[in-house]
Amino acid sequence: MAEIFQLTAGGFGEILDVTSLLLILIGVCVGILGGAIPGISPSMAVALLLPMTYSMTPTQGIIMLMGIYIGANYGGSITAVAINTPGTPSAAVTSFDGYPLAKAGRGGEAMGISLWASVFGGLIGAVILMLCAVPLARIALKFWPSEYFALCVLGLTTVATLGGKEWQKSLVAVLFGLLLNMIGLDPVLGVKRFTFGITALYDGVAMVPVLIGLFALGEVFANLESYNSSEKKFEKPVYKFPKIGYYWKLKWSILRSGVVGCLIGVFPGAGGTIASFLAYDVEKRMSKHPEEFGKGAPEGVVAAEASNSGSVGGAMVPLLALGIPGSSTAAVLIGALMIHNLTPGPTLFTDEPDLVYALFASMFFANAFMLLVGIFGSKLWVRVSDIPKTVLYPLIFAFSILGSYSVKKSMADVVVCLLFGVIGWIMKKYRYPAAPVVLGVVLGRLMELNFSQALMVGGAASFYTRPLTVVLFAISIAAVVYSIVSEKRAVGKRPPETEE
Amino acid sequence: MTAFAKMLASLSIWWILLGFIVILAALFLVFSKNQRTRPVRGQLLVLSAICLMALLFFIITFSFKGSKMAAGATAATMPRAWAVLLIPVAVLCGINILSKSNEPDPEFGPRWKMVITVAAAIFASVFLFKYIGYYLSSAVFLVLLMWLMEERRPVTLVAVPLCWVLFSYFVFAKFLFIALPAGALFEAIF
Repeated sequence: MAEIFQLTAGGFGEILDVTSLLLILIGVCVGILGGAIPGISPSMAVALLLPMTYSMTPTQGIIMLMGIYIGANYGGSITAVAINTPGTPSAAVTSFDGYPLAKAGRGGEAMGISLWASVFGGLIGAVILMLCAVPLARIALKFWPSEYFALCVLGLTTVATLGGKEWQKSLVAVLFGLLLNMIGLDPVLGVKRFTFGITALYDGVAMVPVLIGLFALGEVFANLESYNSSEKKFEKPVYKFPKIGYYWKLKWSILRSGVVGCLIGVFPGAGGTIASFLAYDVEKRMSKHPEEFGKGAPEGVVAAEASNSGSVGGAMVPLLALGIPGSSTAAVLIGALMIHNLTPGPTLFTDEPDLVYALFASMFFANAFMLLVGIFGSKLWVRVSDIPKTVLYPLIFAFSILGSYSVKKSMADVVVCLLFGVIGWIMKKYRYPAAPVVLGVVLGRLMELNFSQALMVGGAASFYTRPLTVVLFAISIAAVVYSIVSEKRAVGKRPPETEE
Repeated sequence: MTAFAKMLASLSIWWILLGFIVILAALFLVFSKNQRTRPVRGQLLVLSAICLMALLFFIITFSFKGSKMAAGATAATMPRAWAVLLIPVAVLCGINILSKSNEPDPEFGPRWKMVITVAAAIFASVFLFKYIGYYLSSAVFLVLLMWLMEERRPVTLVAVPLCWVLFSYFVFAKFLFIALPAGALFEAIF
């Protein structure tokens, strides 16, 4: 334990320079800005800015993107409280109580709670990440390839099964991502696969353009479809934050929700939205006045914000320790590591310890910056929602094109980005989630490599003779079976449709 | 099978796309004629497209050359595994889509034609990079897109593309050293 703290202290030293701190601050500001704009999700914000990190050092690039991730999770709450329009999906829960508070003339209170809960939720997530990722990575380093393969399968099935009512579509989307990943040269034997004579496809489908296409372009296409040029503007209330002592009363709610958020964030695919719904439910159950929830309960705002910020740390645990992203934004961060030729997973702790501990340290700085930026900039961030869509959407398109081009200076990547923009739009329209596609693309290569290595090391028997591999496979199967059973039960409980 | 696989693998991407479009158009007609499938034809078409891709990949794997790894695995093993795994998943998904509890396809939004136009405009803009360069092409694209979205303020229509061009030049070209396409026209002039 002492070693972890010592190394994290080293991480603080690593980023204690003007450039790094400035990059974290820029990241936080961009993240809050992106989060506050309805229609820009944290994953979209990170995906759009990812190409800009290409010319930075890996540490600088990652800490800036981490700042965006953290900032965007908070940014979504600003418009949720001020105008009842969540900037991010996870901020939807914030609006349940934040907006009623604002309507009751307690907007400053709601904004203050959401800011402080986000900061402390984020810090709780960072501490848990720091404490859990290192031991988990040490265990993972002892994994055999067959266990790694089974772990990837588990990651994929968990994602798919968390797809809720339409988990089958999530599974289809995962397999679509895995099939896409087969394009290009085989990683072990070097055989050309599904390239159709296109040289640009020898390296496979580039990840960054896919990410930008699915998360940014697809989202904007979907928004454009029901775009209304005469959207009404909301009146922005005046805010006055409460004194610091006020937040002390909410300390246990913040702690509980931060921990719940972080724990939920650890599960691949769960992300901040599920975390905030669950934490909200927990707080409501534990409250002495559950009837106030939904009408302006401060604990409701705390639950939503502390948990979605806590989920950031949670989502980073499987990413750093196992190479499996815990959320769609974490999947984009994997892309960021890969464009810097880094392999996410336990080897990152041995190959690039400076980067890992700098990342831990950056989370503390990012949350501290978020507090300052939140306090002094809240009035400005609310104004962000005034940016007309006629300017915002064209700029997102332009940024997407430029971003996808700049990674490899390849026009083929731009075309891939556009194609995936259209695919993302169609998938969103017909309720096929995009995040599992990305996970399939991200994990596919890892799975294939480990599958091949497992065969070479222990033959096919390694998949059924190694106890941990078998356990992981069993959990994967159980996860899928559980989804089927719970869905059947839910259908059984639904009231029969009555004919009119 | 191997001969057919080799033939498919040797086709250009355009033929493959054309084949996809023809098959999906036929499926669209089939789904539209059936009372049960009509309300969910969009969801079924997406599923069919993914299955079609899996089938194509599965067949093409028979054309792969190369040595075998341990335990008989080849470059075809994983693509085949994913394609085969897709069958039960697609069946489950299809059943769910056709079940009564599943929601029908959403109606197209009022601006769906604009989405198609915008997508076409982006493709055209990217195509024009080669000829008129990134800066001019993206500026024209921004103006066009804002106009399509009913932006009519002259200052905005001029300022946004101008700021964007300056931003992309200074940040990407000068700061990040990413050379953006100048275009044949400008290369010929300067």
